[in-house]
Amino acid sequence: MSNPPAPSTLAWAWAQIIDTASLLPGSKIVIRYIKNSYQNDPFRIALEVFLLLFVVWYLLEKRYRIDHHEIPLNKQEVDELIDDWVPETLVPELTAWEQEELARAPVLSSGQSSKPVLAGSQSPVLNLASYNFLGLVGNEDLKERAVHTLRKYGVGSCGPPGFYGTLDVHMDLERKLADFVGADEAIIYSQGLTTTLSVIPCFSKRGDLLICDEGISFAVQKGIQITRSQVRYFKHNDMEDLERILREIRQEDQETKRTITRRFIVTEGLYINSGDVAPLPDLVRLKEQYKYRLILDESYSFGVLGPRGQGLAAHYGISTDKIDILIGSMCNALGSSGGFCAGRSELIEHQRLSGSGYVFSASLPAILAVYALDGLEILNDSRGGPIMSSLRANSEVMAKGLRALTRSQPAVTLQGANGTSPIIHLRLDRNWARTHLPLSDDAEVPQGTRTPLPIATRVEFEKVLQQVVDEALSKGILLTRAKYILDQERSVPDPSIRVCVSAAHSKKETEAAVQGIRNAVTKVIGSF
Amino acid sequence: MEEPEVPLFILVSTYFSYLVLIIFAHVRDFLGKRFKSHEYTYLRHHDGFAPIFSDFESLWRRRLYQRIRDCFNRPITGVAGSYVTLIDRVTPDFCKTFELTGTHTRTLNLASYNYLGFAQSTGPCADSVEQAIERLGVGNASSVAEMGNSQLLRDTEAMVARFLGAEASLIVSMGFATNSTTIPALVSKGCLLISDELNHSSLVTGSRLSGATIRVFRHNSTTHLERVLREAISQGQPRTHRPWKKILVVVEGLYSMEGQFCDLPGIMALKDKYKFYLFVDEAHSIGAVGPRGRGVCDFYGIDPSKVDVLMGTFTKSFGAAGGYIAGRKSLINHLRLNNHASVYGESMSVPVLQQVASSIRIIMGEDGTHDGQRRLETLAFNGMYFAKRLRELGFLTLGSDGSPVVPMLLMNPAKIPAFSRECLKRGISVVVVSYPATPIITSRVRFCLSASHTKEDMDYALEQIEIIGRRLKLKLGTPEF
Ligand SMILES: Cc1ncc(COP(=O)(O)O)c(C=O)c1O
Repeated sequence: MSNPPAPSTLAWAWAQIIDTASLLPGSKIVIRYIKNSYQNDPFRIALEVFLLLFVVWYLLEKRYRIDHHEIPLNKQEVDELIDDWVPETLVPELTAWEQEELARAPVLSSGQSSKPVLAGSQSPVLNLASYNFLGLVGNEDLKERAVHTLRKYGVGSCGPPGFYGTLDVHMDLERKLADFVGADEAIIYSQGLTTTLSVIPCFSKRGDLLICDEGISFAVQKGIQITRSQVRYFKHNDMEDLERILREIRQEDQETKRTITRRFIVTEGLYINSGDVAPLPDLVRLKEQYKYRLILDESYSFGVLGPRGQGLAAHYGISTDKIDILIGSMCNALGSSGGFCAGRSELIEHQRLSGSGYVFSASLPAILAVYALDGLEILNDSRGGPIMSSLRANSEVMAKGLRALTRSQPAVTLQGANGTSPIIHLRLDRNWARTHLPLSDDAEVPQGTRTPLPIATRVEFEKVLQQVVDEALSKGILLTRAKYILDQERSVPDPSIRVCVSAAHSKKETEAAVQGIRNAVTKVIGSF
Repeated sequence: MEEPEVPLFILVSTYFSYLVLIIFAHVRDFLGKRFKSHEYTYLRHHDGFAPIFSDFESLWRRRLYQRIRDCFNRPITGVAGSYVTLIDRVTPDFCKTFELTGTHTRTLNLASYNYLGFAQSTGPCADSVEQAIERLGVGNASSVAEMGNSQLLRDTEAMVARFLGAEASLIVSMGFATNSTTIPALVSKGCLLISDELNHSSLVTGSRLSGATIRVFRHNSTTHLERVLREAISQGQPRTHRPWKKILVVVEGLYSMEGQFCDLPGIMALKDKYKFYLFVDEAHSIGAVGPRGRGVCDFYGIDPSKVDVLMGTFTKSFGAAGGYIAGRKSLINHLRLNNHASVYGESMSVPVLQQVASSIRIIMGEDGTHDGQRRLETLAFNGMYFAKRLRELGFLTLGSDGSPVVPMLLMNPAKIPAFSRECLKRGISVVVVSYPATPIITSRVRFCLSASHTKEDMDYALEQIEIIGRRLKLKLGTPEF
């Protein structure tokens, strides 16, 4: 080894390695193997060595990264840091407005109905605040059936559906719901909010893509958040904007030649935050053209849209199987509790093992399942027709009446007053507020409607609307402001009074409600 | 948890069984996709669509769970009391589909979470619920924050608070949502959430929604918890090393898959020094544990006001549904405005609310009888007796003394359905659980005792389990094995 016959240093190094390695027992065989394979396929060896190096580098790199961020401390230092650490309080103090909000929240002393009685009062008020669109809440026949159910099933089911919590009435309800909306199969969850939150993450996973309407409700937002999928938002109900995004993505696909992951378009049927109806025909056309699946949250349109309340598809006369995943609720129009998802069998069966709110929670109490079943039956038989026409008529009366109000009263604007939606939002006009509201310095009203209001301004708006609510209540009309958790919402709509029409009110009552709201608005606005 | 001694042969054969099952599953998928491709379209890219579930994701469900699907989602009718009526079904195609035969089978119920036996359609609770329905109806079609608050809800919340020894409480219409929507109202980005590794899915969902950093500590290990705390506080937030805003430790009172109490005294001992807030989910322990039925605090004699957030559900001991959060007034007021379910979810329906109110009255003895105390004592006896007898018979059980849930190890995957089916043949309903709900190796059957079980019921069950155990070689704790 004293005089290395080296044509190049590399070969010399190689020889050195071989020499040293051959001192190890058994290494001859390995070396011979490597040499042979090198002759056969030098490229392969290079590749394998490269891979080996990569693995070593990767392992080291990972450890290195952790070390890099961890500051080495001795026990005493750690103890001192622990002593010094002062956590924030568990919850912040309530602001003055929040305290007021709590103190003012209405409490019912009677049962919930289209004409309930509030605590501290004797006379019933006209309820335009709860989602009792069909008047099924407070229905006397259904109450009686609920007592029967109680006497057969008790109250709680004492188990999740997987573990002896599936009742015959649950299976009936799932069948009836599926038939009613026109899907293969349905699955029920025990809370409306959690339904949406569980269903979306069942299908969309990390790496998948969701294209969502900007105006989606809180439940959908949270469902999306759990998925950790990529999300793109299109302008509310704007199909051109949706198509623009879909086209962009298609172009990116063609440029990058990436594998297609699961892709969904997510919208609501009837938007709770605006009372707008989703343009299903366009959605279906786009989703078919661009190969997306459609997740449609019908929590508020189920029982409301369509000739018998079957939902958005029936409203447009489109077959339900165009909607891949349909989410609905039994807690709004049906006046019961819980939610459901309907669709093709394999998608529903998948949820029985993957829907977290289904697998890990007790099933819906029988009384509530039967209440929903009975509600469906009403919609299906001869009683359904009059209810639906009453809802339509009242929605139109309300929309028309409020539109007349905004014509004479520029201080307020409307959303959802399309005559179809039983949900109408009454908001303060930003321009009016800018000139009329005594706003403090930190409360300003941004131009246009797309920039959200600063919190301080919101509170001022809410206070005015609350005055309207109070004034209306003093005249026997029960309204509510739409409530949000501001720091949890993606983009909150401006404050509003959310008027919900009910089929249980007569036309006269609805007209009286319109008049009451007009008077209240005029009176409160007049004071500024 | 102390892992019980399991014979080596069982360990090896269990792993081997799973190996065989998984290999077969893959082979069947492989062949199926080639020779029956039309049946597998939904697993493949087709027509420009990605498969709705990846085959890997669903392999477990299609190939393993499917074979024993008859042991799950068994439909029932009537009340899930000490006995439960199953709706019989048969499967013509190895559990792909089921057909109802139209007949019923009454079985002894060792499966439902009916700890105090309040799953009843008669008696004082049911009577009061009937009156409530007549007076107040059923649903609300609104959230608590908007129009779903009622005098009944307020009164019940006050009663729950009194029962728990807390300043105030808040009721949510679903237990799962109580967790998944409260945690995001307590912690957010910049906060640290430290979670027991076996925490329930609802807690995990809530943690993920919160945006807080999540660390996990080994199940019930206060030593590991302390290590995590020391490291977290001294190092601060990742990358920036800023101090954490706050730290929330989340544990369960009674781990239902393990039948094990959390080490509350051990955690309380760390609480002052490390200044974290404590969230205890008492879904399974409230009503069922402690001399007065007030959960793990009662069991350990710890002042409940020392726990920052007390959570529990009404689905189990109370025969109702939904859940609660209890604690200081300031906490509850904050949650009334910030808990998602209070603002966006439907409020609790009247019958459920009344069931909660009436059952708590009975547990507290405010109905003027000793019914509640009797139920608590019977449940305590039943839990102890059943677990002790199982161990004496040579079965390997998990869990703490005094737990109303008694898990017993089955291990081998083939024994999971076998045990469940054998029990059913003998008129006993049981719950079997395996991976992913448990570690892959420790599949188990989970017996839930109830105050409504008589000693004869338990003796019958034990006698049958002993026969089945001998046949299936389940007595892992005896040399006979
Ligand atoms: C620890 C824990 N938390 C929460 C829940 C959810 O409760 P519920 O069934 O009332 O939704 C459960 C139920 O299984 C549970 O075990």
